[in-house]
This record gives sequence, C-alpha cells and structure tokens, in this order.
Amino acid sequence: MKVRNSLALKVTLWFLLLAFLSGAFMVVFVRRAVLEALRVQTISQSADYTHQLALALADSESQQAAENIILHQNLDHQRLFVVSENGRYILHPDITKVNHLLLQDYPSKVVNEILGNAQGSLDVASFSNAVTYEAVPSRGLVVVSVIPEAEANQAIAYFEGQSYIQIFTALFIMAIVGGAATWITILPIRQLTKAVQEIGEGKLETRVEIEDLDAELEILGMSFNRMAEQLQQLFYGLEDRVAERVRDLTLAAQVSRQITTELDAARVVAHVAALTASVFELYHVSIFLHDEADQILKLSQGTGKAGEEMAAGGKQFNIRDRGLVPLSARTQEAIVSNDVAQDANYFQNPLLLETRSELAVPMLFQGNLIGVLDLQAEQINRFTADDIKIMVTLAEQVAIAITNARLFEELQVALKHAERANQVKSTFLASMSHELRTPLNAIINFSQFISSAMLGPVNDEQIALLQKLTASGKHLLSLINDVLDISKIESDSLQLFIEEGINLAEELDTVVASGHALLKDKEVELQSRIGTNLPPIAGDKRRIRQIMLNLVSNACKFTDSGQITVSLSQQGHEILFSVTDTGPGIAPKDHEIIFETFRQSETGIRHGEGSGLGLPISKRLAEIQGGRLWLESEVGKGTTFYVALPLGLSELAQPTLLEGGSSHEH
Amino acid sequence: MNTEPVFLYVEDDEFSRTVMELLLTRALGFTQLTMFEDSSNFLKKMEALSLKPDLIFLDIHMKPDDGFALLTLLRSHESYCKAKVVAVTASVMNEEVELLKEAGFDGALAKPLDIGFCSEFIKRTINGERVWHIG
Repeated sequence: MKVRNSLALKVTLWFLLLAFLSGAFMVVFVRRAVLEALRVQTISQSADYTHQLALALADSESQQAAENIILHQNLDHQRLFVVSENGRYILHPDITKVNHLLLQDYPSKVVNEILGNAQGSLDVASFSNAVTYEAVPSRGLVVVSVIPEAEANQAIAYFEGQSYIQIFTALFIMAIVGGAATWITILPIRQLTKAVQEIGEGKLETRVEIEDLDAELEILGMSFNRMAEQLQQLFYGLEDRVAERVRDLTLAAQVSRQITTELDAARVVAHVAALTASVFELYHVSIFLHDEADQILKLSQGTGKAGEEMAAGGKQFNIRDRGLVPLSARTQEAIVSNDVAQDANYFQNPLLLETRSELAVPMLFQGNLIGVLDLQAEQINRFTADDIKIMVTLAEQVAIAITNARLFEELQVALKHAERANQVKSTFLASMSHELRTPLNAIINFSQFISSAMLGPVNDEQIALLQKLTASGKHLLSLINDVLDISKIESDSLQLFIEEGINLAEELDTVVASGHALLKDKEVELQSRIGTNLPPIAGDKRRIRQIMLNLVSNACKFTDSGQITVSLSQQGHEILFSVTDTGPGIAPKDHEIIFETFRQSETGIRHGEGSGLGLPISKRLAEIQGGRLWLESEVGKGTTFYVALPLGLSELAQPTLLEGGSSHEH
Repeated sequence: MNTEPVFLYVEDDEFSRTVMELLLTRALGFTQLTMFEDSSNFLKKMEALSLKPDLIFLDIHMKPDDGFALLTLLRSHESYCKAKVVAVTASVMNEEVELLKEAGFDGALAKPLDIGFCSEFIKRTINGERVWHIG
C-alpha cells in the first residue's frame, strides 16, 4: 500500500488539523470570554461583600464588628476601607491614611464616581484595580472595596499559568486518541483493501474476518467474501472444465495420431477400438464397417471378451435394424443415449449387460459412410455434448485413416502389378533384343559376305539388292536399340558408363565419316568446324556419339541440297555441339512433338523413315549427362540442333559411375 | 603376328557359327578355327582335340553350361587359363555387359557381328587389350 495515498493517514492528518484549529480557537476566543467572566465574578463577589459590609455599618449592633473587619484585614489581600461623603478616609487598615483625601490615591474620576453614587463598581481599564463601593447614607459614609490588580486577575494568572500546558497536553492526547481511533476505524478498510488486492493477484482463497467489523463494514465484508467465493468457484470450475476438455482433446489427438500413421485398415480399426476404450475409460468400444453392397454393418473390432465373442459370432447389423448403431448409420448423425433403460432406440446386447450409456458415431469420409464407432459406458449420463463433439471428430479421423489405409492397400496392389508389368516388359525387351539380334547376325553378315563376292561372283543387281538387305537389317537393329533405350529411359533404368578424358573431336570425326556415307548420293556438302584446344570432357562416350550420330543422320536424311555444318566449341563450362542444315526446317508447332516418343513431324512422316525415337532418346541422353538439347529452325531455310554438355562430372544430373577404361568402338 | 592364332568358338546357333566361320576363314583368311555346337563335355572335348586356343569366343546363352560357366572352367584350368576369352552375345544391355566385365572376360563382341571391325578386334585382343564392342 502506498503511504502517500493512505486513507488512514489522510483521515488522521485531517483530524489533527481540526484539533489544532479548535485548540487555536479556544485559545483566542474562549480564553478571553472565560477570563472576562472570572473577573466579572470576582468583582460581583466583591460588590456583595461591600454591600454586606455597608449593611453591617448601618446597623448599630454589627457596626463595631464590621469596623473591626476593616481595620484588621490582611493588607496583602483585599483592601477595604470607609470614606466620608467629603472624600476623606475614615476607616483604613493603614492608620496613617485616616483623614487623608481619597484623591491622593485615586484619580478624580474614580473618586467622583464613588462619592456621587449610592453603590456600584468600577472596572476601568486605565485604572487597573477594580473597585466596588456602597454608601451608608445613615452615617454619611461610603464603603469601598478595592481589588488589587493581582487579585482581580488572580484567576487569569492561574488560568494562564496552567492552560497552555493543559491545552497542548489535551491537544496531544486528542491527536493520539483521534489518530488511534481513526486508525482503528480505518483498519478493517485496510484489511478489505488488502483482500481485494490479493484477489487481484490471483489468491482467490482470500477472505476477510467479519467478526471484528462494524455494521456497515460487515455488510461490505460479507459481500466481499461472497463475491470472492463466487469468483473462486467460477474460476476453478472453469479451470477444471478447460483441463477436462484439454485432456479429452489430447486423448483424441493421441488416438488420431496413432491411427493416421497406420497403413493397414484392419490394424487401424483394432488400434482405435483398443485406444479409445482405454484412454476414455469406457466399458466397451466396437467398430462396425459398412458394406455398401449388402447394406450391412459388420463388426470389425470390439474390445474385451464381449468383442471377441461378437467377432467369433460374426456380429453384424442390417442398416434397417433396431439399435443406436444402425440408426446412426441411417441418419449419418451421432446418436447418444445417456440412459439406455429409458431409450426406445436402444437395443440391448446380451454380452454387454452393464451398459447404461451408449454413443454411436458414424465414420464419414466425404459424405460416404465408412462405418460406425460405438462407445458404451457403465455410467448413466456418461456422454456430454463435448464428448460427442470429440468423438465425431475422432470418427472422422478414423474414417480418413481407414480410407487412407484402403487406398494404400489398393496402391500397393497396383504398384505390385505395375512393378510386375514393368519387369515383364523389361524381360520381354531384353529377350526380344536378344532373339532378334541373333537372326540379324546372319541376315546382315551373310548379305555382306555375298555382296562382297567373297563367296563367288555376283552381278550388280544382286549386289544392290544384297546391300539393301544389309541396310534393312541394320535399320532393324537400330530400331531394336532405340526401343531398348527408350524403354530404359522411361523406366529410369538407363545406366551410363562415365569416363573422363573423352576427345569429342575424335568422336565427331567418326560421326562425320558416317554422314559422308549417307550423303554419297546427294549434292550436299558436309563440313565440320572444330574449335581449337577443346578440353576433354567426362561422360558416356558411346551415348555422346549416339547423340551426335542421330543429329548428323537426321540432317543428312532431311537435307537434299545445300550444306550441313557440324561444329564443336567451348562455351564456358560446356562444350557446344551443333548441326546446321539447309533442309526443309521444322515448323514451330512441331518443335515439341519431335521430342515426344514415337512421334514425328509431318515432314518426318512423309520421309517415311526412322522410329520417331532418335530425338527423344538424344534429348534424354544429353539431359541425364547434365546437358541440354534444343533447336532453332526456320521453315524453308533449315534447322540447327544444339547440344550443350558439361565439361566436368560434378555437373552430371545422374552420376552413375561405372568402371571406366572401357572402350566402345564402332 | 608370327604364328597364326588358334581360335575356338562355342556357339549353339548354327547361323552364328556360319557367320564366324565365313568371317574368320573366308573374309580374314585364318585357318585355325574349331567350333563346338554346344557346351557339353567342354574340357573333355578340348583335351581330346589337344586344343591350345589363343582366342576363345564364347556364346553366353547356351546349354547345359552358359558362357560364364565355361569361362570359370577355362580360368581354373592350367592349360587354358592364359587364353583370351571373348563373349559373343546378343545381350548387350549395359548391365549385361557389366556382368561380363565382372566375370573376367577379356572383351565382348555384340551380335550381329560388325565384320568391318573384327580384324582390328582380334589383333587388339590378342595383344592384351580388353575391347568391349557392343554398339
């Protein structure tokens, strides 16, 4: 609590200020009034005394006694004397004064007053003594009583002597008592303040002591305690509910997490049933799967002994049957019965006699009924609205998991089929290649032996036909090779034989030689421009040569006049190989088609040669070695094919390193 | 070559044997060629003929023993372990060629035979170079 703003301190300080103000008022005003009253009283007493004395002097019997009083009075105290009507002392305790004029001791104004009136009193400020007098006309005397200043103000002196100490003592005591009283009054308020503060800090168990409080504060205190009580209940109630919900959601998430990683539908179901029963502490959990064709809900998994017996007995519902499970399947809604004895929809299972609450939740995936999750509890009112929500979510997860698992199973089967099909294809291709190459060995070579006249004379016509036979055989062989290549490329099973130090210029020479052979009947010039100081590159030499040969053969095939230029040059970290022809060109719409397998441009089709595999194979062969293949063409002018190959191995896309040192000669 | 090399070809396909025979004896002019029609009793046949081949061509897909089995027999035989053994095969996929290399063949010739290259192939193989002509 901040002292500066303390209510108690403020009240105390105000109280002290009030006490001082009233003290000061007393000193200034009351004191004067009191003192005046005291003086007046003194004078009045003196006047009484004077009167008594005057009466006594008038009476002959008491005359002597009165005179004695006057004569024998103590000089230090009141001064009584008697004067004659002409103003001379007659009786005075001081004998020497007798017959002396009163005027000698008192001012004329006072003397005239005393002598001029029957009786009275004088309290003249300038003449500090107070005087009372009374005439005794029968004897021509005046009794005068003079109250000396000291005596007249005796009360004042006394009062003044004592009062300041008393006033301040009183003020001090008042302050102490007032402060203490204030403090005591304020204390319960401070207690309340402290309690409020503690509640604010979260100590909801804080209460105030009612017994010590005053009536007004007691009400405040009671209200406060009630409020704190409600706050505490609300808070802890809320906390409990949140904790409960968090726990349920955590459990549901736990179940979900476990099942979504499961890829076997039967195991998903078994997992869910067991986990749900254990984590939510349920009497029984079953999962029914929907058979859409037969409109049947077949038990897939049930927990406990009842579950085993139900499974053994082939437990199932028709979707039109009585019971919460079929009802939930029909309505595709969660069906809850929190007191099965009162529920007409409930259909008792003789194996589950302890069931008091049941919750059947449909397992839906994209609106399709996968099955029903059935939960049973031994307690009445087991399933709250929150529970139902959680179970609906869980059932959705289960539906997804089951669907995923089923899809995965289908996928596995499909994958196995595909793998098998692929295996069959590969085996077929390998054996086809083998089986075709063996007769081609005879066809190609016999025709060559015969046409070379090695076996005897042959005429030109025979030679021409035999050469066509050889060429056809070789063409068939290249088709077989292409089909094998594309099959391997498409199944990603093409293996490269990477070697370093390949001299592309040398390789190009052999390719150009083949090109010349293809052009021997045409008016087409084939020239090569090989850059100087070309670095050797790493790659699959046979495949690189295959690319170059394919592009050069294509150019030779499609160019009927003009020229073909092949070039090799270094471009940064790449070697650029290009083949430029003056052929018919390739229309832009065909730029992509020609790289598709078994497709050719219209020109290619008209030309009636080739498998339509050469370019796709070449492109892929360049790419799997980390290179690129592309073209530029203008219809009617010609085409240039480019191949860029990286110099180093590090840039290979598929560095399938096989032992080098091999030599594939053509 | 000072002396004419001695060749052995084991091949169960008749046409292939004819191609090899025409190639070696008619086209290239060699005379020392022996051919077996199958792989049965391989070593016995060789011993019976007292063959000392310099270059042995083996078909791969044969019965009862395939080319690999014959290679193993040759390599483990005192008299033949120095002979050059070349596979002549129609199975020319990369992985198949890899198997040949691993098995220890001294080279390979693909079917159909590239007769234009065979003279050079024989020379280089006999000189100890391992040549894989599978294009």
